[in-house]
Formats: sequence, structure tokens, C-alpha cells
Amino acid sequence: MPRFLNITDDRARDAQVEVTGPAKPPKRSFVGPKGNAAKSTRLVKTTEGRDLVGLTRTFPDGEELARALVRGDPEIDLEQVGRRVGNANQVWIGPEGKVLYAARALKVVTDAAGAETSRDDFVDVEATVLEDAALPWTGRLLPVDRVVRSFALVQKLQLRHINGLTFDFLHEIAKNLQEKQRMLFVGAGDKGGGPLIFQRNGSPYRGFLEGRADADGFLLVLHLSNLELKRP
Amino acid sequence: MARQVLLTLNGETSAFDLARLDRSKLYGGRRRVVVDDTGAECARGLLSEDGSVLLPPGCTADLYLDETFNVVERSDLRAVDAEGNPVTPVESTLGVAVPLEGPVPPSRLLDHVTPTVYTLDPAELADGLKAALAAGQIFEGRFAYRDGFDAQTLFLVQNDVGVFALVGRPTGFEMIRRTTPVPEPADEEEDLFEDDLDFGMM
Repeated sequence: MPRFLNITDDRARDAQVEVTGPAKPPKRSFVGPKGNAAKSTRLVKTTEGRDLVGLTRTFPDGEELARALVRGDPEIDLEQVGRRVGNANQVWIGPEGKVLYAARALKVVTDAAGAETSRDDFVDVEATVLEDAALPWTGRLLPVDRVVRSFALVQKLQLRHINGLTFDFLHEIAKNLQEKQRMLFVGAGDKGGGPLIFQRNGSPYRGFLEGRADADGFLLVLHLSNLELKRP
Repeated sequence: MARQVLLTLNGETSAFDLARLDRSKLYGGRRRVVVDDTGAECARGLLSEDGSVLLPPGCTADLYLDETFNVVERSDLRAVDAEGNPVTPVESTLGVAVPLEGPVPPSRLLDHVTPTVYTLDPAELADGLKAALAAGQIFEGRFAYRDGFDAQTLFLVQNDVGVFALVGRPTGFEMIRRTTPVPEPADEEEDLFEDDLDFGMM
């Protein structure tokens, strides 16, 4: 399913265009020494109640635990160990080792030193990049050289046309940016000051639109950053 | 002693100590925690499909197995491409002198997606490279943090606060012409933004 976003040019015209991500790295698979295919597989190592935490719960006295380990194999579930995990459901497990049937999610905030600063109820953060809400033309044009030295551009999206009109629309934006040798700061919200969030609870990004154009083609890339080039 | 990044320009080698630049070191972090009704933090585990086996964290192991269920040690693995041709292993470039190319224009950096950033502290900085970085030039080289099968591209950049290595791979984006065919729809499982919560910028 193609992904779309809605973007505005410097003349307040907006259009829905398609976006695609970078090329995927080449697929690799693995073989063993004899040339037979080898795949990563998740296996059961131990089961609930048989790891150290569980055994300590069953045998609180260390001496008793040691005797149990010598006498038998309480740490091994012979029916399950070595089996493929296969299709399994993710669950939350409480401190007593039991599955949780009603859970509460919290948002924990830590500072740069790792110390916790707040703990509140978790509230979903909705996406700010929507197919039917145009990202505004902020007019904030930054020199290319300044952007590449100030921000780590960790993700990229190429803007593509979906018909002849949007081809001309995007070509003009790319040509405009290339002539000015600038990148456009892109954000969400009415004035473009908000972060770009592409899915609910997704990472927020700052966007920088780069354009290159020639007579009959264009390259328009939205560079995304969530990291400044600074020292801790 | 930690291995260094060694970069060579015009016959002179410079050595840098590197440290991964993590968002949490700059902005702090936010994480989603699940608690029970007493407020105690819970851990994520697995429950088998039939509900009979509960696997708390640490109860599983990832191994490479062949078709006959024999374990293949990681050191014995060989990579092949989509056609089954062997892929040449790539050794770590840490501690190995890597030649720099450039200076390259900023557009070369923009043609790569660089999700990994290192701060570089010069242990030995050659005069030529020092002057070039101070003049705002950008250089490019090969980089592999550990032994594997794919080397990435490193871009050496300096700003007001220091020297950085931006590591990544080419975007593969090309100019679009009127006749450029529409790309194939992405796989349903592939998401451009399959990432976890991150609110450091908010």
C-alpha cells in the first residue's frame, strides 16, 4: 500500500503526493559449512518457574535449592526445552511470575543522566502527518551546508508525483529550492512548528526538504532528523 | 584499550576515539512501562499458542539451525545473496587505516541515509585533515564497526562543537522523469517507520 502525504508550495497550493523510503539493503541468507541453509530460530531454554527466579521462589533456602539441583533436574522442563517457540503471544508478567490480565501503562521520563524525572499515565500521541492535512510551507529556508552539519538525517522520504499536475507541482518546488541552494524546514501544524509524527506513538522528527531539478526531471527528498550533532 | 577509527588522507593517518551518539545522552528518554495494580513493573514474556507454556524474559535462546535441526555455530556461517552466490565477508575497520575520499559535496551526504552517528575525539590529528575539516570540507570512507557482510559509508564532518562520523548507506533515490514507472507497492509487512516510542524531542 503506497504512503501519501499532503504538501504545500510557496504559493499556498497543496497537493497529495506519494512518498517512498530508501532502497532496502540486499537480502542475505546464511548457509552452514556443508552449504545447507541455516536460519535463526528461537528455542525454549527454560520455562516459567524453572529459571533462577522461579527456583528461588520454590526453594527459598539456598541449601535446599542446591540439594534439589543435585538430586534431580528441577531447572529443566524435559517436555519443553529445545522446542521451537513458534507462534506465541506476547504477554505481560507480574513480579510473582503470573500473567497479567489487567495492566496499566505509564510513561516514564528520564533525564540525560538516566535519572527518572516523572512517571504519569501513558497517553497515546497521534500522528501529525496525515494524508488529508497539508504540511504548510514554512518559508524557513536553511543553507544546505548548515543542515548537514547541524542534524543527523536519520531517515529519508522521496516525494513522487501521482499524475501530470503533481509532477509539475513537485518539479517547481525542487527547482525553487535548488536555485536558492536551500533546504526548507518542514513541520506539522498550522504554522509548521510541530514535529512530524508518521504513526501513532511514532518517533517525532524535524523535516528538511531538499530539491534538485533539471529540464525534465526532479528529485525531492524530505530528510528527517531526530538527533542534533551536539556533544552530551 | 578501545579500538580507534584510523583515517588516512594524502598519506597522513589520523586516529580518533569514537563514541556512539545516542539520543538519550542529549535529550533524556521516555519509555512505556506496564505496571500491575500495585504499581510494580511487569516484564514482557511469551505465552505459547495453546496457553500451556509461559516463557518469562531470558527463557529463550536464538540459534542458527539447518534443515535437519542441527545447530550451526555463528563462526561457521557463510552469507549468500539472493542468487545463492557467496558474499565476501567484511572485517571491522576499527584499528585499520581507511583511506578517505574527498572532499565531497554535501549532496553526496544527502544521498545517504545515516542513522548512526559517532562523536570522534582526535587522538592524533594530521595537519592536512585538521585544516580541511576546519575549512568545512566533508570526507567519505568505508566503515564496519564489527566483522560482518556489509560495510557502510562513513562521512567525516566537523561543526562548532566537534568532529562527527555519520554512518549509513545510499538511499538509492533517482531523479524522477515523466516516464519514470510507478514503484512497486511496498510489502504489507514493511513499514517505513517501524519504530518504538520516542518522545525525546517533544
